[in-house]
Amino acid sequence: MFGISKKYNEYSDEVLMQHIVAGKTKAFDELYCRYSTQMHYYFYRLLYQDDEKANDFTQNLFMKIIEKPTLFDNSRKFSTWFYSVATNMCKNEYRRNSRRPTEVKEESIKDLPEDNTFTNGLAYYLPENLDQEIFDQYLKIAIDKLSKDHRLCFVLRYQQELSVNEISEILDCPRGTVKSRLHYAIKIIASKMAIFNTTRKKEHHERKTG
Amino acid sequence: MRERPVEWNSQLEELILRKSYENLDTAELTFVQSQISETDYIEYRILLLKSKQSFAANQIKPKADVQKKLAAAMAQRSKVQQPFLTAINQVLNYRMPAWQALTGAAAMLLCFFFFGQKKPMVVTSRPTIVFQTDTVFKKQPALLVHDTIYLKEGSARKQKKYSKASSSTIEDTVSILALNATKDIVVKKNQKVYGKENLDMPVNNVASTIPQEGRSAKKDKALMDLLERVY
Repeated sequence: MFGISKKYNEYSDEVLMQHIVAGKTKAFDELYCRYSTQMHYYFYRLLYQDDEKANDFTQNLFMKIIEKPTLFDNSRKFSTWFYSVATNMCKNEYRRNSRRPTEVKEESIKDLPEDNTFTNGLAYYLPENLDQEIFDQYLKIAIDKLSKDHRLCFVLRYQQELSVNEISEILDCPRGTVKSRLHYAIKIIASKMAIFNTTRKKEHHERKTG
Repeated sequence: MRERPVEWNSQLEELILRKSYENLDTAELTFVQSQISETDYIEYRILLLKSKQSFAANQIKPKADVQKKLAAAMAQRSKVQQPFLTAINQVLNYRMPAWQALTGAAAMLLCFFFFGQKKPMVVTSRPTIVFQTDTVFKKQPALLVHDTIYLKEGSARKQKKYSKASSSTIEDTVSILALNATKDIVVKKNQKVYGKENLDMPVNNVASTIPQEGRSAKKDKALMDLLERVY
């Protein structure tokens, strides 16, 4: 009420949702501050690094809270419920979109330097910041090349930093499945990023130079 | 036959992120070697560490436009839900230029100094009630006492009654006096008592219209002397 300053930043997500159901705009603002960036980044990563699309999806996601806040079951944890909604939106988008992200990036990934670039001794002398930039590009493409389920697991675990239990709840699958998907995703991406293994690069360089 | 996927080990992940392969102790090395090869360990470590850096560095934020749209939508919904509170909120949060507010405040101050001090403030305090009246004075109408008795010759009854008095003896007079003792009035036969001032206080400053009558202290004294002599 007026004159009483409520400390919404101290409230849990679930309590904030109750206030949003009651029509409190400040509660919504607080929830938006907490989740907008991470949800936008989540969409950005899963939806082909398209910033515009990520903005649209972020807006639609929060609009669901505004229009139908009662859909949230208070017995559940808000973050996992919210990620479930966002993940379902991405899955629907994959279904709608005939062009799968792996197909989109297939051509571009072929243009990237192969492991033999480093055997020539060029990449070994790359500065650290440039090394990281190239790594970022490789990582983006490697994530896009993953299958939908593996990509979701990898992004949720290492980008969004959620636990295996939370991922299991979000994707509605057993923990074992999440772990095996994670292992597979790491194995695939690591094989693509092997060029950044300095030990191997050094070995290649030394072998080349004799 | 399809190879069964190996589950990702949380303990292994924790080791990969925390220690390089060279820094693993014997127990940890044994554990790691039971899970993955040295090359895999190193590659996984590079991947996970660099990915963390990359994810942290490349974090992007949504456009400010998105927040504005959502805030407007939320405000709209809130308005529909709480029209009364919204109206109050609008009044309380009404924005006006600072010069308007300051001018208004200055005008109020000037009005107070010029007009407010002409009429001294009258403090009307209610008197403190120390006690309450517990005696009620009841005004009674003036008692009309007929202290003049007219004895008419024609009245047989009265003639009989006062026949003795007409003898004008002292005893007769006393008997008549005794008859009127309750009124404590001395009455003589055919004697009118007029011309005396009314001894009663006027009621409400209005002079009584009752004919003046009564007796004087002098007459009372004479009566007392008479009674002493008789008895």
